[in-house]
Amino acid sequence: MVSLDEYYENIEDYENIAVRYNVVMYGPALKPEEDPEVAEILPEDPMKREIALAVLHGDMNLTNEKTQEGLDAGGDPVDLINNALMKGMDSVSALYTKGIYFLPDLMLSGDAMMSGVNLCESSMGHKADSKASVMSFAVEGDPHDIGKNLVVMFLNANGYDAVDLGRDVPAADVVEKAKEVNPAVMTATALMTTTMTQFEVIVAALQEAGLDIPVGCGGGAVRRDFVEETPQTFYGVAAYHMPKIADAIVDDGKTWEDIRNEYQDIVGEYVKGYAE
Amino acid sequence: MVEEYSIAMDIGTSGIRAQALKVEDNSTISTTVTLRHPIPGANVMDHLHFAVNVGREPAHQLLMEAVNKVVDQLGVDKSKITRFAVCGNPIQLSLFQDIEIRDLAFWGTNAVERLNIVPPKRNAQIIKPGDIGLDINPDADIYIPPAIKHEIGADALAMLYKSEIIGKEGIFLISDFGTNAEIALVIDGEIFSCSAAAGPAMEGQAIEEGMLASPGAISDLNPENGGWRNSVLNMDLKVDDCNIIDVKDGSIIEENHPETKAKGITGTGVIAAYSLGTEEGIISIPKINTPNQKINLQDDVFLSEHDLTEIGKALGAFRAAHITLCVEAGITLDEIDAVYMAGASGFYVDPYKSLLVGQIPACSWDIYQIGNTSLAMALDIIKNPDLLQELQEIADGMRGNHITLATSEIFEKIYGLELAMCEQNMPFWKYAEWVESYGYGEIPETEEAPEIHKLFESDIPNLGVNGLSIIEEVGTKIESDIEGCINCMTCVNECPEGALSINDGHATIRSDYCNGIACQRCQLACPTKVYDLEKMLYVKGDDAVTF
Amino acid sequence: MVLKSFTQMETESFDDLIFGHAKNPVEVGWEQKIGYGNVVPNVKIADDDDKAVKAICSRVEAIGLPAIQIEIENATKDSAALAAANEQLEALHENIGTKASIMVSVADDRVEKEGLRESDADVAITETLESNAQNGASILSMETIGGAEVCNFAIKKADPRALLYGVGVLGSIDMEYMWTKISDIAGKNNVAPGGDSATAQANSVMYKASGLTEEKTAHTLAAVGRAMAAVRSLVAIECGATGPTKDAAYENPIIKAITGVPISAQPRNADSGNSVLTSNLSASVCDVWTEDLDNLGNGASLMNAATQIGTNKELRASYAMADKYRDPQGVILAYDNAYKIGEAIIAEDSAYTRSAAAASKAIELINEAIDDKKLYITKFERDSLDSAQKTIEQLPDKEKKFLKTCLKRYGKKVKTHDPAQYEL
Repeated sequence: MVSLDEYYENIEDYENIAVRYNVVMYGPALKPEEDPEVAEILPEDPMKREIALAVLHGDMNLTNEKTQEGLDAGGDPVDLINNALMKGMDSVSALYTKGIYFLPDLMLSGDAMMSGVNLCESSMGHKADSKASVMSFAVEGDPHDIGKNLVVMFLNANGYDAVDLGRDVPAADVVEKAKEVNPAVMTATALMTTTMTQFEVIVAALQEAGLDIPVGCGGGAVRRDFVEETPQTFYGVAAYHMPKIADAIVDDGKTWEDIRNEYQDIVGEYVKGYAE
Repeated sequence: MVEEYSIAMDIGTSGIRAQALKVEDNSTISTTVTLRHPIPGANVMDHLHFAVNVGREPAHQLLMEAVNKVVDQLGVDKSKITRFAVCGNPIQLSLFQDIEIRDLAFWGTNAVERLNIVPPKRNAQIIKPGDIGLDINPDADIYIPPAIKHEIGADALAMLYKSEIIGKEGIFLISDFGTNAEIALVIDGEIFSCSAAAGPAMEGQAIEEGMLASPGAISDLNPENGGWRNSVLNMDLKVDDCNIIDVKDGSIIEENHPETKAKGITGTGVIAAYSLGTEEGIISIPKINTPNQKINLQDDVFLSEHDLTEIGKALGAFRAAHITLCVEAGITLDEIDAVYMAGASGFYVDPYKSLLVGQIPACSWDIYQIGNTSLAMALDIIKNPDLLQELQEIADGMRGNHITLATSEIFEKIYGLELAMCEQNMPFWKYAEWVESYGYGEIPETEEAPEIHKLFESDIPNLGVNGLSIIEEVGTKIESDIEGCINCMTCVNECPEGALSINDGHATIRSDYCNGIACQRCQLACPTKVYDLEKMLYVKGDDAVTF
Repeated sequence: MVLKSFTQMETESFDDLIFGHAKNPVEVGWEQKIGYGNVVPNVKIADDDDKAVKAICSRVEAIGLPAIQIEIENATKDSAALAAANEQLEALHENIGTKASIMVSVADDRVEKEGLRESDADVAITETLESNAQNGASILSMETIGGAEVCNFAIKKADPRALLYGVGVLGSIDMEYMWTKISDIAGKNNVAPGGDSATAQANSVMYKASGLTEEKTAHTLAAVGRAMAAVRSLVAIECGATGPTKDAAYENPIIKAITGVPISAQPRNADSGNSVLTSNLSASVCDVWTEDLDNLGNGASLMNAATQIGTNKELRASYAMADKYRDPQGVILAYDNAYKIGEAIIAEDSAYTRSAAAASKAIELINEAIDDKKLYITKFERDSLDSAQKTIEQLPDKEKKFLKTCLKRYGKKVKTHDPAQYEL
């Protein structure tokens, strides 16, 4: 008895028989790890690959388990962070950018990755090297921090040490912490019309302390023209823009004025608030 | 016996409504409403911003000028007014009383400590006209109803009291929504409340062709004859049933009222479009399934996919708030026995459209529109001043749980799903799957034929023997000398509401027209950067203009 | 009334599923043997087109067809075409020995809200069937509409649960009513009760899904609906139908696998402009093959030649493979997988559990094809498939509970649905 699909073995190219043009046009639905971009990113080493896949699948317990196995097997914590955990997160970012992964996937994977990084760091006994520090907070009087949490997650996922000051953060605390952390850039978020006036207050306090760190300002009711009233600031539109902006500052030495002028180029896409 | 009068007043975000009654027999004499609020801004947070940053005093003065004009307009002998009851949200009532308001402007402890803010109690009170600059019989009693808790104001108490669900067994959801929603879930008398900020999209802001209710605004849309009937406000601010349009390409199926041209769309129009489009499958957020990816309305007014994302985010806050309340209260959405809509949503809004777009839960099957409960409760108080004490007892006895959505992890997770849907095209079933995986229960099906009970035939049931008068222009003003002003008129030309005039370096703003911090175009446009909205001071305004 | 509920596969293995051969063949009309080894060509004519019969008979003679079946579509009570076919096919058989048969398809013009049972439309259908059976029809067939209203709703809302309720459950209930009646009429008149197709249900979904690139209704959902349709079409056989079945029933390979009755198939439905992505695949296991007059007999001759040479299995594989991975529906209807879905169905005993099992197996088979990198689907199709899978997995065990939920939900939501018509 010959099974039907034994005949399939002889078929060299099914596309000479039939083409699913919808798949050609809209792209195939693939498992996360099958996505060609992800396949490029994922490590080949089986141990690292398992860790990266655990992050990719947003499985924190498995990430911890596999990371611990990796450490127990004598793996270098820095290597595991950079070439396993971060690769998993890079894959997640790639899928997110493509619209295959969504915000909740991202949060889940972000938590899994950070949990693995913590394991590695406690094995090293100190924090891992990062591209630079970035500080993020919701301004004084404002509890809304969903946007800020996203910024922190995106920055961590991209190799920055995102220092999260939380919500309701007074300008004085911002200055004090900035002296300690020395961030390359900071983000201030406000959702309420009553609190977005804090941007100006924070910048004044920074300037008084002689700190010229750029401040990315954003949040629900915040508008670009409002932000740009205050020097040393730029208007941040989407949380996922932040790593690219940080890269521009850290790698290319861009200033807050450059970011205002080149925002769309820096984040590499059309941004409505900056288009007109 | 000397004739005595009593006044009941509701101070709302979009204006003031008041009625005059005879104390003797509680018969209604007259009714007055204003179409605008005297303090600059588009919503209550803007009013708060004005009071905090420009000053509590000018805010109070503006409000009292308007209140006095309303009382004048009611047409009763002011020296014979003996009772005056007022209701509204804590911000409006605090401005009326001229008490501390900054506790409502900031969250958390830092600003409160730094500014030495002592939050007032906001209990039931009887004050005197002289305390607040109210120009009536100085011996009159002014009744201020209590807030339930710090964050749950007298307006919320009015919703609960007038809906009669206090002391009733069952699970009820009460909502008063506009730009923001005040939502209370009441389970056998225990309250779980929250306040959801939907954001500017609901007012037509952040919408490309959005505009406030003014001539040329599309205010409603209804399916007819294979297309959508456009309801457009005419030059008299009345609704004209204008063209039926094929929204796929904007072509006219049937023309009507060609003299009324559409220029933009209001918040209500946006909701109607969103609801209809979703129902007809033209919208599958964030996509619009028409050839040009737009909902094409009358006279080239349109909604874009970007607009939809904004609206989706705004409405998502409501849905996420409903789920959060349920999770906090330990129930599921489909256990809600009845949904009550109060305030403007309690009368003007089509409940079914609200259900479809998510302003009330999609599974609501028994819906009551209970009208403006703030004015109704103020009326109850002037008819029976002892009620004030009773209300305080009710407020004291209520187990209130206020949930600050901004700090709720549940809300954060669900709102993340909302964002994924409207920004990233995440399908709804995936949303439901995530909600379930978070342990927040199943998302119930949309109710297709809810029971709707409209309790009143008109917004204010009894207008009184002298009927209704409408104050179209409150006429209130703020002003400031602007040092360094070059009289270039850029700011004047920039003002979308025609509220600003400059006369030899002196700026005068008609505060009832001004959109305040929500707009700020005058300040941002000033080429010499000398114009400062925050330096404005109160000045006596023009006479009120009535219809 | 269900006479025989299938609990075992009549066809012994998937390899026994092949064109021309049916485990339980039938002889109808004028020595017409169906399923005995040869594929019979079928040609459709309209009820009022009695003139077409002459052209068909001339053609048969001119090109030398050994067998012919004429199908009268939407046959009426006093069908002119039936009278002509009866007379002329008999003459053809007598004069030149051509084996012949006539299938009538009676239109189901019942309206659910006006009554499915004993309504005027239902009584008229009975009368038409009786009249046709008495006036020369060899095979009675129908396309019953039970469950179509809920199915339309299911398509509009992409609701797999409504699909199961409409196609699987309501469809089966109405099929039992209708086919008990048809089998009875056929028995009294000594003609064959053929079979039924879910034209108003599963085909609607397929047509709505339409071409590949339109992405209105997901092709994955259409395939799941097709598997469910097999459950309702099976009811005809369980109530006494013997085949040949209706050609529009694309679920026929599953029916043949379970029951062994001969089935009909059609290559395409180009007239209606609908995209059928399984034209060749349908041929692989058919016993009656519908063609238009211009091509009449070509396909059947090819298949019959292959049977005699002994290359029939290779031809079957060629037909099947031409479509198997063109579309998810091809995957589940290819004879190997159709057999597996049949097995899943007979393992259950109620329409509800059978439909769920059929859907579940279909989803599994589609996922296998994807995992094997033979079938590629889009994200839209993937989401739809995952959503259906989730719905099916979460169905309650008890039919009673499922029906209670559906009655409440769809009884109200689908304005044209009346549960009472299904005695629910």
